[in-house]
Amino acid sequence: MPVTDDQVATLRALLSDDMDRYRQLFSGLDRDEARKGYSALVTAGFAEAVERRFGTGYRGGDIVEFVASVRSRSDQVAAELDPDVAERVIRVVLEDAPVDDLSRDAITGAQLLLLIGLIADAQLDGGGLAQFLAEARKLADQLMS
Amino acid sequence: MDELSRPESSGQPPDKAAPDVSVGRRQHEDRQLAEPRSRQEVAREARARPVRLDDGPVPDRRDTVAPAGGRPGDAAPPGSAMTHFHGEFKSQRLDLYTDGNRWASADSARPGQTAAKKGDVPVRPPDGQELIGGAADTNPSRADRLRSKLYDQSDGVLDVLEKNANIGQSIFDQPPTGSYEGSPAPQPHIYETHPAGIDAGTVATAIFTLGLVIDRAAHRAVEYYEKRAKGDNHAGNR
Amino acid sequence: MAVTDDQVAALRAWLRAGTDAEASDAERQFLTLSKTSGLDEIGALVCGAFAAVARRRFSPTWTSADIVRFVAEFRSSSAEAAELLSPSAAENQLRRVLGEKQAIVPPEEDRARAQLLLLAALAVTLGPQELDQVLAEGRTLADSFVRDAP
Repeated sequence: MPVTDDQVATLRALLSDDMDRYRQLFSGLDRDEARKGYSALVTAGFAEAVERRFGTGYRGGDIVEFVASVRSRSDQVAAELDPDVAERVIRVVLEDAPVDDLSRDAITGAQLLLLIGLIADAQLDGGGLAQFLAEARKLADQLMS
Repeated sequence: MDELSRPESSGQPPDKAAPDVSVGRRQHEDRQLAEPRSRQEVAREARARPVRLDDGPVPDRRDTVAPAGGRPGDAAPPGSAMTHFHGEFKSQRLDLYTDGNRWASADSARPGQTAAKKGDVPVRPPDGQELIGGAADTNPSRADRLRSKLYDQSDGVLDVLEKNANIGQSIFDQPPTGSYEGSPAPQPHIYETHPAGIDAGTVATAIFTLGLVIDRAAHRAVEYYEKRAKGDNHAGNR
Repeated sequence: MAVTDDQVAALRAWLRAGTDAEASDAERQFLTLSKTSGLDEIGALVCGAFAAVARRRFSPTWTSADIVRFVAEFRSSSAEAAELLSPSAAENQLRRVLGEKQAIVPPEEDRARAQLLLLAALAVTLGPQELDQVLAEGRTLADSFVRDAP
């Protein structure tokens, strides 16, 4: 089953920093569908955002600096987002990297926190965010196929 | 400026020169140590063959650290510039090999990187694409890679996503541009510096310090940092 | 056994090495010490000096962001730095010597790398007298550790 409109709306609310709406929509998602579709959308959105941010002309130092910039925004994020995990999941997208020794929860959590950081930096307007999510949705459907 | 606008790209992944090495996790591979030589033999060879930096490809660390097919005391294969240090430390036999780049290096050749002699240190540090190779032999498609490594559809994934969504809210509170619209960001915890002592949980045994001192990459890393730090100071960026 | 003058001299030589020749000389000093069983306390000396210079830099107060940014500043300066230094071990060790209890103890090799590399990075802005003071403080801390060790 492909990504649903509700799942896209949920992620859009989160990435718009509309937490009240996000919580309302998230709690209303079908759990079985969401663990496949919504999580695919998060991974796809993360990959899309990383590729747009770093492109192909990046330096390794750019990854280090970006992760640090996200982690330095709050004590909670610094504690929750392991820098090694964060750098590696970004590199999985850009050039591949080993993650076999990392926990699934750490990998998933890192993707979401970094996605939020990437979107926060981008300061997309409504149309830009919609276009971004449309691209992410296409990729998410591929991940689930 | 929309930082997420798709840049022009060829779609080609960056070249990967370094082998698969986990960041922050040094693997302690099984090493086939050479038979020990006398200190005089080691010292004679070290004087005869000074360590040269970046002198050709760095051998794969998964091979024996001793020169392949070599007998004890044999000279290293031409062009490898491998120097062997042997000693005893706390009843442990200590055999350290360096080619001037790394101690028991794992690195393959770094394209375009020249020897880091003083005055030769590049203004721009080596290309960070060399950081982690991790090139899969089969070069899986983008979707395959994301699916196998990042996509999680397990039972607990929604709980993880919900928890991190709540934590991630604070990222919006502190955007890097300095815009503080919306609710005030939580203030960071301010720690006081305590004059704590050092203890067994902190002190590491000397063998690791020795290994790092001999590792020229460590010295280069500090050099690059110093150059950048002093460059920033001159530019008045601090 | 207390830290010796030779050990302090070797560490100072490595921290101040500006050319390959100076780095080689420092390496030789370390290797000479290792061959004469004179390296035993070097781990404690490095740890003590690291603690001393970290407290000098991050006093009287610090935040998580300060630690995160400093470690990233070093690691982003070169591919070598990023590969050699585990960011989580580096932050852990800095927090620990600044007085914050840490639940996790990183692997010994990661600790050694973090202490020596961060010591070197923090020392780049020190003048000769300041470096001597840091090494003297580090020596005192190391001697206390060695004396009190079981």
